[in-house]
Amino acid sequence: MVHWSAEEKQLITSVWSKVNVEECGAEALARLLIVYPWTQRFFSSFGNLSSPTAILGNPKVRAHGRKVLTSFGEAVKNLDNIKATYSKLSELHCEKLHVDPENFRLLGDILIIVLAAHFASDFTPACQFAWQKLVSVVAHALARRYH
Amino acid sequence: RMFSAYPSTKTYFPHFDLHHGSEQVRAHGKKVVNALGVAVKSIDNLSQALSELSNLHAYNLRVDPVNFKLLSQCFQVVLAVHLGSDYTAEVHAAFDKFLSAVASVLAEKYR
Repeated sequence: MVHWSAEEKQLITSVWSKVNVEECGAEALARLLIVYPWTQRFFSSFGNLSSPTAILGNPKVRAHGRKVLTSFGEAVKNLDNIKATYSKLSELHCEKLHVDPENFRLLGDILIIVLAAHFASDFTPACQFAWQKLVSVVAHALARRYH
Repeated sequence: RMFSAYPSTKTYFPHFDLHHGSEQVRAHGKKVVNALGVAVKSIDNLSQALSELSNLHAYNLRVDPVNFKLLSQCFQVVLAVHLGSDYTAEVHAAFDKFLSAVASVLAEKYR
């Protein structure tokens, strides 16, 4: 089980409470598809992904980004039980979606950059530490059921 | 930020004072960013422009290449903190690609 200090929990939940899940989720997923274009391989049914502008405005990308970040919120609510929280999703990503777990790490890093751009100097080094730890734990939990 | 977010990176600096506000950290950070500036100016010829640094990292410093990704992440976080919405998706993509290319050059003589 992951150990979270009281400070880490506080930094995570306080940042999360100010996040606009819809905007942030859309931004993070769009950036994943833009910065690492090979990740588009999972989204051939999403329509126009031909340019950064197209991706940023694509309604399916936005909707899916929101879905993904909403799910991320479950980790924030269950910091002491992230493994169990993502057990089913892990199986799904392996058995049905066939997503290389490296993509979870890529998205996690992008999410942090989006948070940094949004919160500026409020996203302190201590904040970044707690969040890098969180995205790493989430990525690990999502990869855990792979076989 | 790198030393805070990724404590394992501190293992390469046992000879440094790594406390917040350390002059050594500031000076070294400046050195690294200046080298990135050289890279930016020679973006179409990174291998040649960074040849000396490449040798240094391969034969002398031998920093494990995973750490280049960690520094890249922190550098981009700092850019995002300072530029806010000016750190657009396109700028982000270009920078990530650039830092990744620099990292490749620094590691190219490792073996």
